[in-house]
Amino acid sequence: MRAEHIHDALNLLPEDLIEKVDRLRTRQRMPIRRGWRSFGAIAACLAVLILGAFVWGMLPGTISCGTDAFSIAADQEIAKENLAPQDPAELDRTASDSANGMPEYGLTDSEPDAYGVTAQYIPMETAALAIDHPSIRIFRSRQELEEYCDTHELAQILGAAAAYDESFFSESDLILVDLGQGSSSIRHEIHTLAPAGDQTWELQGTQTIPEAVTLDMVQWLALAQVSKEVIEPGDTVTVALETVRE
Amino acid sequence: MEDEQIVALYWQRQEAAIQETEKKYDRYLTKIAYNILSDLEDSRERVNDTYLAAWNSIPPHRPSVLSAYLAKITRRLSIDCWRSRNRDKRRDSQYSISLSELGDCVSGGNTTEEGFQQKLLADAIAVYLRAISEEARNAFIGRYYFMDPLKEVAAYCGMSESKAKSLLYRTRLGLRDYLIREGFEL
Repeated sequence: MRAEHIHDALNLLPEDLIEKVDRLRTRQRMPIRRGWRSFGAIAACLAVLILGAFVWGMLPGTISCGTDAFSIAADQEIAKENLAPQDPAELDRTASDSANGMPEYGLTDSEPDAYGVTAQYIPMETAALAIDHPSIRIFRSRQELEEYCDTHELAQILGAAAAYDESFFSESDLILVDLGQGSSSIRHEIHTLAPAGDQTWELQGTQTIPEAVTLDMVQWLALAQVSKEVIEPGDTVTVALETVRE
Repeated sequence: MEDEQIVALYWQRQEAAIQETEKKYDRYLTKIAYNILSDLEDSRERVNDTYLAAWNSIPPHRPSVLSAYLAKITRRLSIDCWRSRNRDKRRDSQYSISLSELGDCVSGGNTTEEGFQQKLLADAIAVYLRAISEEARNAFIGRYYFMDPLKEVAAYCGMSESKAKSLLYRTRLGLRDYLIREGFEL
């Protein structure tokens, strides 16, 4: 008997056995139940965070307080003060600041160690797995993005990417990253684009997996924005995500 | 639209039955076909063949669970397609040619005896699957009936990949022992 015979026989299994597993694998996303205790715990955590931020701001040597200060501090540690501004308006502002003798960010003569990246994350239904596309794809124009989404029937991406118009692409490129399958409870953050050898770049970030996750399956995609002059045609981009378990 | 209403449309021989089936199950069936074929175009063709097969078989059939019924057709058609594709790849080998020539000596199709044996085997597997834990049963059917990747099976069964892997290994060994005890020649 060959394995093929087992496969053929499986096609004759009773429907009740199949149906039960089918329900399990196609189960819709289960809402997370939150009782009043959970909300109380969240409120308490927020209060501690706000208090912590206030105290942090009162310490000598701290530039400012609040979430922006935390994210800037974290980014600066990675990018070693060479962050490239993502927003075209920000680019203009830094250029004019430079002319006024203000500090310069992202417009230094030497090649920066890394660039800050902002991204949005799109959970696709599991059936999107049927789409055969590369795990990373760089778009340099709105037309490229639309053609790709039309060809691969990725209307959901196009909907999420409505803000990326021609004026966006005149200043930036968009990288579509396939982050793989997983529960919708998994959170991703791509924050840095760092050089990783000759004509090679690495998108760096984290994927946070909570201890308890919903059992639904989604295909996570990310749209990462980078300044246009960073990745040149022919360059290779890879992804390295550090897994954090909560 | 509810499954009962879709099945009723098939029985009334209304072509809207196919449109409603496609609307509700196209992605679901494409995923099953893609798990087997790893080719989107072939998968879509098999899903279209599934609609035709459903049209031709309902009536006389009146499936109680339409999704399982359609999944079964897609699975069978996709496996047939996979075999045919692999046969074509081997077409040029002398072994393949000799097999084809020797095919003249045998019927080629499924004989009644083979069909009966297949049904016996399916019944034995079903008995075994009902006897094992629900967790092992779900993982086995997910992996070997729906052919979902191990990672997905582990996720919807609520276990780690390594646990799913070892559970499937033990389940396969258990099935082997059971089939031997039941007199199947493996």
